[in-house]
Amino acid sequence: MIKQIQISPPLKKVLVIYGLLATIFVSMMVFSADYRSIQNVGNVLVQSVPLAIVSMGQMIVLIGGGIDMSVGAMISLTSCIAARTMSSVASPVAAIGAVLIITVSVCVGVMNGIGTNYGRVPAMITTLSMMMVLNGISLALLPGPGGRVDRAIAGVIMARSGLLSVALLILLLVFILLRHFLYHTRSGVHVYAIGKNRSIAASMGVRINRVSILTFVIAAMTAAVSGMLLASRMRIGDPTIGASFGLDSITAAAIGGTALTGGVGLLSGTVAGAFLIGMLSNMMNILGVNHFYQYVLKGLLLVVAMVFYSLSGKMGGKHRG
Amino acid sequence: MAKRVTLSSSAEFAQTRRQSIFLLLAVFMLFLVQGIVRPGSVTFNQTMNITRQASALGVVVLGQALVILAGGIDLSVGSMVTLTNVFAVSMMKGQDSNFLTAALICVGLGVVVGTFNALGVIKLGIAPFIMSLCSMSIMEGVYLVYTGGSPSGRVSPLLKTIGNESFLGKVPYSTIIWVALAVLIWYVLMKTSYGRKVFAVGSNPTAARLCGIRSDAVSFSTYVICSVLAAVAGLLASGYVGTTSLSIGSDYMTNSLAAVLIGGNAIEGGKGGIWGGVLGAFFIMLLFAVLTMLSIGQVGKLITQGLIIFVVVALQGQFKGGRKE
Repeated sequence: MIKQIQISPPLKKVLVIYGLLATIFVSMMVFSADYRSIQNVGNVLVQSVPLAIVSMGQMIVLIGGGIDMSVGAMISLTSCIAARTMSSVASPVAAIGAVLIITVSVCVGVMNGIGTNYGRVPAMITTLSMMMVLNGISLALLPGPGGRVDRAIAGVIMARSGLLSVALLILLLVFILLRHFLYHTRSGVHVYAIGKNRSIAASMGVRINRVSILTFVIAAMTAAVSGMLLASRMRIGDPTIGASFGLDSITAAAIGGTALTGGVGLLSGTVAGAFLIGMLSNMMNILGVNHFYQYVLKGLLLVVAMVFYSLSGKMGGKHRG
Repeated sequence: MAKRVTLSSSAEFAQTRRQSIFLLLAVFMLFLVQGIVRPGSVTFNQTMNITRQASALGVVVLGQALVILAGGIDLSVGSMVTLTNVFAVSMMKGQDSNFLTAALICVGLGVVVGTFNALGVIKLGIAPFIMSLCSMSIMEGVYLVYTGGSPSGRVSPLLKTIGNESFLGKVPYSTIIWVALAVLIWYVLMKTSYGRKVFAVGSNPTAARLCGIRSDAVSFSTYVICSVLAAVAGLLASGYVGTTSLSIGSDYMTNSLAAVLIGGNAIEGGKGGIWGGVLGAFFIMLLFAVLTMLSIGQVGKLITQGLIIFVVVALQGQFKGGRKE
């Protein structure tokens, strides 16, 4: 009974994004020998994982009618906590660090949710304020890039052989968990419902505030997972490492067909969007595009991707920020 | 989701006014804190100094408010400010004779960028959030390529005067420009049919179109105006700073959004006005100034800033009464 939510039209759009992804991938494989190497393909996959994970969290908030600008700051904070506490795997401090990261992310999510729902503050302002606060705390923990993440911990998280890697496994795990949550639980359907129309959802008996808070908690937790992955990759903490993730995650979700107005979105599309963004920068690096030109190209390519997209499906209706 | 065209609704108008009064209270609180921290520092001159610092942000906020009123959003204003700064300063070479050309080219750039944003949003159906994000990235690339990472040039003396001197030694020129632009936009928004169309399009584009309003043309114009105002703000900021910097515009995007929302405008459009945002920009700059006076480090600054912006908006929400969805 719960499962009868209609998700087929967006699914068609998702296929278009996967088509685009495959086209770029195949043409790069054909044109560039460097790109073809298993090493590089593995790199692309691993590099896109942190953005893909946090984008899924972001997407759930967007579906619920909110927006979370603080995920980037949450990523930075996680990497700082990790670098400060996990310098040695043997010490009990590392375990405390892990517990701390989880606790902090849940608290951040709950506070974002409470501010937005009970404080009557627009989600954008709540999460922007949270972003500033978290950036401040990150700077207090680590004034600049530094600290250390133990080789053993980082080694496990970054382990890979050929195309397969633990990072991808984590992505898969998060994907399956969120997929189950979103499509096969009552709360998941409620997320779509409050995004479509809060007052109707409320009158149908959905606990709108509670569901909305849950979406923010999920976003903050996915940000923590991404932060942990980034900290393991760099093996140090960096208070600004997450700066671009807030906007990039929203872009990834939007490329994947999530409506920024709420109520529409699919996990598979968002993952594809994140991989598209990851692949673009890798592609430009391989082609040796000047770093400065990359900004221009990235912007233009994203416009092209979105155009492709709007041509493919009938966009219909209005799209607003 | 029923949204009304707001101008006629006096209840909502009163609500916006109540919010502005609350914001005014918050500003007075800040003055009070400033007075306690540094007795005797709350003077006319000091206040004018803060309006001088706020003027660039204030001008950006005018454009941002307009775009948001019409139901869009523009994240590219910060890059536009930097782009203007880089181009204007490198073209002026410290000569007044180059000022007019440089200023005109920058305003022209604003038109180009605004048109680009508007075309993407209206003709290609891309969400404004994403479209302006893309043009932000493109502009970042353009000024990085143009400067090669190390910008150069000097601000012309005339622009420096505008950015740093005051009319009769009292009111900064940049403040005058800011207020004049605000009055102009307020007049257009509240007293002309174009203004009513902006509200109508922001409230409900489909309904507006059915009423015979050319929704697309109206929202198109808001994007262009917003980018042009960002270019003007870039000139003001260049005059104030007196030099060129690739990070000059980095805070404008978040600060302009914060100012508009603190000012009581609704993010979904169609609700609000101009003066709330103007006051919001002043509030944010005053907050920075007071925090600097307290000589709090970067860490404390970020944390207090975040908390205060949140608390102000939250208290405004409590003032608003029942939530309408």
